[in-house]
Amino acid sequence: MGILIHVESKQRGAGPGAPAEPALEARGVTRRFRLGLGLRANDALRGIDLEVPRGATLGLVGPNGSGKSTLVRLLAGVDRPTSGTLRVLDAEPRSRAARQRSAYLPEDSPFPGELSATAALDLLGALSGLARKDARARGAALLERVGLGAAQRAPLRAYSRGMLRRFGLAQAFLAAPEVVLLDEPTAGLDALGFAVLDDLLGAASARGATVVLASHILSDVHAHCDHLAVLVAGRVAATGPPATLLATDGRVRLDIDGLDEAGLAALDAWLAPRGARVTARLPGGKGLTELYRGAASAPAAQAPR
Amino acid sequence: MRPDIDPRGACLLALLEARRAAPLGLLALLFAATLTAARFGGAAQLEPALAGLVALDRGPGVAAAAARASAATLGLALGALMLVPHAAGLATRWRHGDGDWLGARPVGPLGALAASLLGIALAACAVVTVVLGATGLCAATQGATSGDAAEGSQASARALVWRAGPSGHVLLHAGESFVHRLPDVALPVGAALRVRLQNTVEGAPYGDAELRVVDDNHAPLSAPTRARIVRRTYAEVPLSATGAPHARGSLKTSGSPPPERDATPTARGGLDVVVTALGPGAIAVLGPRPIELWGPPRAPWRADLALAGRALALLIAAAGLAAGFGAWVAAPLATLGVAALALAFAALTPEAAALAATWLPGSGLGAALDVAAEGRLPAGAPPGQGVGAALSVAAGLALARAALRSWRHAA
Repeated sequence: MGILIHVESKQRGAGPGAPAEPALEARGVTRRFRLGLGLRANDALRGIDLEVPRGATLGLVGPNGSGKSTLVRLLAGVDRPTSGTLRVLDAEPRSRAARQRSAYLPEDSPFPGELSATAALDLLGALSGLARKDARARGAALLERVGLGAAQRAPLRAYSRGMLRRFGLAQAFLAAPEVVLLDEPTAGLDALGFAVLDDLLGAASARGATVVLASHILSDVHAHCDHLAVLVAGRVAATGPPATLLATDGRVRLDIDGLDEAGLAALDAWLAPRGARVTARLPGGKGLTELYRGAASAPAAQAPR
Repeated sequence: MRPDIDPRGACLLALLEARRAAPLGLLALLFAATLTAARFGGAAQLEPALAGLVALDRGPGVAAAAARASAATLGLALGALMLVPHAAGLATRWRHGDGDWLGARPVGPLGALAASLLGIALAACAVVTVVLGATGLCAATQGATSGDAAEGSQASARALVWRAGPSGHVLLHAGESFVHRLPDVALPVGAALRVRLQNTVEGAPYGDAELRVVDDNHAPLSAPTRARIVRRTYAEVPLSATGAPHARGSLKTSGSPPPERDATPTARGGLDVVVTALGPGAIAVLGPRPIELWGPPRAPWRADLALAGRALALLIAAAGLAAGFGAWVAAPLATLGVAALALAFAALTPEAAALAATWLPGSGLGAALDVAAEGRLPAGAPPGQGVGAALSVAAGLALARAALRSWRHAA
């Protein structure tokens, strides 16, 4: 029997099983790319049926080339399906109504490198219909929140990949969207960046936003999701809550605090008569996030170079 | 088709596109290249083409103006090389990157395209300003106006008022005359009339010509002027406006298209322009519209507008079309297409060129530069060229809009 222990007990939005109005809906969606002067075709999506209730967080996982980014682009309205129907907040994804209420973090961070982070957020805010004052205030706050406050005047082309990713998160959350579509949000992020993502996703969930996280690394996203969809070769291979999809028969994962070597030995002794054993033991303690934060707050780190 | 974009967003997007189309570094390079060409090139190529009784300007001021005009031609060509391929790559950039952040916003492709083309038009303004600023071309012609006039060259103190005459060439053998009647023209005080001539090298290395202007009563409006034509040049006579009779009549005569400009008249009347080949060689009156009236400039800034307006119209129209073509074919192919179109228009027959001159963007730019190269002030650009440029941009927008059904690559 599979057992999963949820350490977190945070209340999320309604899950896919809950009777809620869908924020995102896909019916028989296909996307075919023509290659080589149209002589060859690549079916990136082969009939996707999906429904994501409002307030839910969906993890879209799958190997490279499984169609995750294509599906997210279709939902963001920057591409059109070859066939099938898509609805975002009960509107066609390419409609102004849908795009006004949704936000998208593209996979490759193709933001205008000529502009500073502040100017780029100003532009993107203006294109989203935000007033100048609002865009500047929200932009400045978001840049601080994602840790780019000190680099907000630098041109984006001078940013590292991780910094661009953080900027991408800032622009996605700029207009407080009802639907957030994040394509590989963790790519290039360091441990502090993961913490930033946690923070932003937590806030989005708290205000009832619907979030789609696409990633090929399950561990990067599943902690945030209350539903997973596994894409393989352009098809949905499996869907369900992480608790169901990720459970493995006969294996329990515990995170125990305050147990010394003697206690661990006692645990082993208790397990043995029951036919069980500890298969992996990782040292607890500081994670990279704590290490980075500790180093950043140390006096040496703040000394001028 | 209604642009679907917030005005502030459109302005910021236009500014971004302008920065991309004409980055400050490239503008600085363009300025340096044009300035260098204006300072060190071109003047040596100026050689007297007329060795006769007509004293055309060949002073140092005019030589410098010629160098500046050549540099301006170079600068504008470099500017076109900068802007047109950039515009041609607009759709490609959207499909392979920009569309991801642009297309996810509540912005329609039409509005975004219009804003981007506005940015490219701003970049074209920057290019033209940099080129004309680096050459100092207009300032130089205006300087030549006073400087050369002080040296006794009154022709330099004049600006082109209009062109007229047959649309094709007229060949004159020794003893033959060409008469062109202008039934009702305004003659500003201090005007001069020029006719473009060329020695045809039929049996002689040069040909002498006599140019006369007479009024309706065959009274001379100027003393007959004799010129020796070695290659291609202008014969010019100063006109006496006070001697013109005040006859009224229609301008519609056979082979006489209406003058393209009118100036503040000080006298009106009909006149005949008579060119007589004196031999030994034959000469040609070079169409289209080989007869030019030059008068004192009313506002020197109009000369700036004449060059800048034509150059801007040309660059903006080319960029607009390139953006449209680039949405359907690869950017280099779209750039070549625009270049081919420009060449096709440049190779228009004289009749077609005369018809298109008022609305074809950039039409007459070469002639205006030639005029500036002589240290004179070119005539203003016809407003129709602005309309032509706007129509070209609209065509480009429509082409691009039709192709950009998706912000991503539509493969």
